[in-house]
Amino acid sequence: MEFIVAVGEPSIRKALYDKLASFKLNYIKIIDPAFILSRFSSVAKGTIIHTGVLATCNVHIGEGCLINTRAVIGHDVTIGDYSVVSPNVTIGGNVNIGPGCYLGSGAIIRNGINIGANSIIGMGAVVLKDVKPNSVMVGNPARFLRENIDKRVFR
Amino acid sequence: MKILCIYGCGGTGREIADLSHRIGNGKRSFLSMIILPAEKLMKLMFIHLKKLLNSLRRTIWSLSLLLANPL
Repeated sequence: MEFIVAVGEPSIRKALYDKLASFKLNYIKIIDPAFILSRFSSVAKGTIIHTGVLATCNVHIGEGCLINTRAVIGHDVTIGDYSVVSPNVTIGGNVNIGPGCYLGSGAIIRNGINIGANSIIGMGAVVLKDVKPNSVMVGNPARFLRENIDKRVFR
Repeated sequence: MKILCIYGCGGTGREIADLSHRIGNGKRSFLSMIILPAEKLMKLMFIHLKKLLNSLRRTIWSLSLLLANPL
């Protein structure tokens, strides 16, 4: 029997993985057949990759991530564990996304950017500067809105 | 035949069930099983209990009306 966590909220995903860790479940990765993974790239267990996702070389996707439809991931990108990438997100090259991040629909991340752990990038935000951990960033260009204290995206 | 347990019954859960079945058309065949999270179950139970109590209240009310004003 195989197992997968299908919850859109990064903090809940992490909590569930932690809770279920003692059961030693057989987590699998579900990847759309149309997705072509470079031999220099890696996808960890428990990750879901939807239809229309494009990723170039040296892309490392962590454990329990959710990459939604039509996301475009550039070269040398690292996506931390339990992060969620919403539909139509564009990530430039050399981007480092920390664990537990949430990228809203249509967000654009410039190349060479570091996004700190547990950050939320709002819908359509254009991130041009590094993002500190636990930040909520919105707008074009993305500006700091508030701190993500309770680490929740959906309320 | 492989059994896939999907924890979560919302949009993401159903998307994943659909995706796993599409993958299943190829080499693997899947039987997806969506697990209802505990908090969702509680919520559903509460809603149904509320509905049940509401209908019971309405029945009692109509019965009392009928008893008070017999045809």
